Amino acid sequence: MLITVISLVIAAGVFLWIFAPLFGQPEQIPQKRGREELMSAVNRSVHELETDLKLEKIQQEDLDVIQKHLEEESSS
Amino acid sequence: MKVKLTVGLIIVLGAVGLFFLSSTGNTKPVYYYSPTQFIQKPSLKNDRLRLKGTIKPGTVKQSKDKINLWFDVTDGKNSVPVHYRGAVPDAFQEGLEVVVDGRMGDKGTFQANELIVKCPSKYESKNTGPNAKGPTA
Amino acid sequence: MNNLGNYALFIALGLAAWGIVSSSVSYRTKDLRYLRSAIRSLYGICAMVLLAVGVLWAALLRNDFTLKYVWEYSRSTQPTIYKITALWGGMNGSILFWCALLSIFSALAVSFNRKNNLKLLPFTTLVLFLTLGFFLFLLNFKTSPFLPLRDSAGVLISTYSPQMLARIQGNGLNPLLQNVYMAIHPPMLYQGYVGFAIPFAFILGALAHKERNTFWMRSARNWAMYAWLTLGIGILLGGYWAYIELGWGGYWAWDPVENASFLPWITGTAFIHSFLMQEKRGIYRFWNVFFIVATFILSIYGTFLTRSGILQSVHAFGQEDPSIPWFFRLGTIFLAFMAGMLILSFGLILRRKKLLTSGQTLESAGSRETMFLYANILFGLMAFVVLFGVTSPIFYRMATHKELSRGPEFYDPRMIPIALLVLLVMGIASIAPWRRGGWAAYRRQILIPGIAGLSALMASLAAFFSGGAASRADFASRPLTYIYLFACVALAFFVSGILFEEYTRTVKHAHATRGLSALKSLLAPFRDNPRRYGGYVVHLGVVCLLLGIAFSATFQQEYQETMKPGDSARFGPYTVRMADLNHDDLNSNLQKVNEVKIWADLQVYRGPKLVALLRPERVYYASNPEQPTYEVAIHSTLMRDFYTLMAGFDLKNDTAIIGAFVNPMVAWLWLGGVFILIGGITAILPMRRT
Repeated sequence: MLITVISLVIAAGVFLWIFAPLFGQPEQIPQKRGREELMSAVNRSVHELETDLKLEKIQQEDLDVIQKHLEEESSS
Repeated sequence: MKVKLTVGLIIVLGAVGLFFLSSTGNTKPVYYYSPTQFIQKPSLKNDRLRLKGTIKPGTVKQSKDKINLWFDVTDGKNSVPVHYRGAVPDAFQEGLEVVVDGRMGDKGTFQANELIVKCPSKYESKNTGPNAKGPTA
Repeated sequence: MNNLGNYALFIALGLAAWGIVSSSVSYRTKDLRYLRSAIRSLYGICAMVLLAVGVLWAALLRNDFTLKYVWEYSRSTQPTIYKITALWGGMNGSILFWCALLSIFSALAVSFNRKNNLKLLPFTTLVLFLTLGFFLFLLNFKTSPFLPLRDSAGVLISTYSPQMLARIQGNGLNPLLQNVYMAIHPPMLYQGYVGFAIPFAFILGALAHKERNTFWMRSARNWAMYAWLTLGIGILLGGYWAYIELGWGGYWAWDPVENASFLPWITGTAFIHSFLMQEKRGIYRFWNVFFIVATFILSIYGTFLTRSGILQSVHAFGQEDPSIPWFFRLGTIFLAFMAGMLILSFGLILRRKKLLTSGQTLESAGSRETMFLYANILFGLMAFVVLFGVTSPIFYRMATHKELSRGPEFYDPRMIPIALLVLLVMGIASIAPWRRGGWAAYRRQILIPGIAGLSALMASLAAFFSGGAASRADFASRPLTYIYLFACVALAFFVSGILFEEYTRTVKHAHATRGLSALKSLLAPFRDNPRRYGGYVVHLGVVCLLLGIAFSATFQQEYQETMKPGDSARFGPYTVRMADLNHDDLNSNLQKVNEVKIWADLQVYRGPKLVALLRPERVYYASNPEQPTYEVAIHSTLMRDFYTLMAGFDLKNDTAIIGAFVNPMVAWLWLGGVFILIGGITAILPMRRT
């Protein structure tokens, strides 16, 4: 009996909590992209490629092409 | 694009070729049979195959040193006597599903090289699962 | 108290249902309020499921046998640690555990992504809610861990008097599972299965929300690597457990259950590699989506296949009550979920197929980018072979009514050549240059490892054929096996050479350009680029693993001798003297003492030298009084394992039948596993900011 009551209380509390945001002012989900993550990933890739340049796994012109492509992709 | 295509094609064809090459080098595929199917096909008498059924309760005998095992494998309708010599798997218990790999011996007993016991579920024992009975009343 | 568990799961189901609704609304309308509500529902589910887990654990720990699950998988005399692990000892508990992991991972992933990736959350959370909803549906209506126990007459145990209750001991966890490896193996596997659900959800979410690039999503990368690592370690632990516990001297049987865990690992491996190329070049987008969808679906399949009764129930001769209509059987429900998620995924892929083109072409057949294409193809082929092996008997049976059996004789001839090709590509890809592929680019780096590989090949051929006519005859009886073995040795040295060379180049470079001390230089590659060099350590582990498999499979020997105390016998390179044969009191009440052992004390000699004292045992456990389990005794060196077991015993005549396997180089498998673990953890670590 006690357990049933406790469970009902929990249920009521939880559902109140999850429905609460619906009663606020209507708001749009911001459609911006995760700028920071994107830039940090691009920088990381470029950094790895620069290291590969020193290790002679890539030539300068190839690195330039790839970097340009990455920057294009991240700005669109 | 051309590079990708030709490379890809070569690899895929090569791989598929490997796949089929290795299948022709194979020995005859091994089939499962139930005791009833086995009895009904006398042509199977000399073939290596896998008998699949349950361990018939009341038919299990083990030699004193536990290295020789005799039991009947049944599918509810027919049974085949089996002899296995070797380390008996832990899980071996009457009523469980079993697969014996081997061939029919001279005296009408199936000689098993391999004995695989299948629990109702890999981790469960007799008293678990939807059909389990609880403690005795 | 236990009803709290039921109620919590019911509330969670309601939350999941609302979650599906509100995330869908927020997806269509882009209304933030509904998204917030959905996110709160996710946290709510997490809390409720954890509450249910707490209730079940409490019941297990206090021996509350009024619950069927507690009675089935625990006993009052069971060690506490195994009362805890009993949570995942049976199907219902492990589904609850799976659900708990998913709700925790989902809550974490969503909270990490709230700030930066809010835009993607509507569809992502929808996918998570659909999956959670499925498991919660099962937990509420098909596989509840909180069912009350009834005795064999159907009477509820909870109606028993306290004295009657006190007499109930419990059935007990299968003794095969009362073992540290089996305790960790399921949680590891489940972290892997569940872990892949997160990148699956985020990648579908990105597609749905028309986000072209997924490579920058940490959630996709990091969760996938974490899931890959835990799944891989889980599989290795399973193999190790089988090796030391089951007594058949092997570690992998291509059993459907094993294959079910291996399949998502193959596609997961493909994913984490191919994804690197999407990061750098934006290519292989379709491959990546394909692999992550496959991994998720196969993870669900793998989760359910372990409980073999489930698939059978679809074919009507399984565990379930035959009066249950076919559409409400467990197998049907799970297949419906898998089919639904497949349709959702491929529908989305079709609708957004423009996002999956890269607009780039591969520049050369020998470039780094193309190496990863070869890897994708090879992994895809591996997965195809295993999937074919697992599913073809089903179709074969429908067509011919004959039941085909697929075992090592099917898988080995197909998987081995593919694995060797993977090894080759693994080596070459490490030194492959970007965008170009000419010989000039490779020449410098490939020379020394190539020579190493060839030398190793020559040396092993010479060593093998120095055995004269016997060796030649052995070779002639199984030429393909030996060709593969020698190829494996050559490739192992080749790849190790490349890995070593890669590492030393980077160390020298760090030392030269940054003037670091020797120690700092040695560590520099791991700190500057943990993913690559951690990956190299993993590759080294894979090399060890494959070598171990190649040698142990090719050269395993089996022996069996009947011995009395004082006898000596020859087992391959070892001479064994049985010093003693002993046992516990066989008349003791098994129910009280929990186990009764029989053991042999063996002195193992190699030539004149005593190298080991081994004690193989047979143990009668309370929960299985008819068949004693095996406790294997292994003397393990890098060269070989000497694996002994007590195959039989006759205490009246004081004899034991000692079985033994000589398994060459098995230790290399576990060594490889350790490298994979260390390398994998390193690879997940964040880079040092320069």
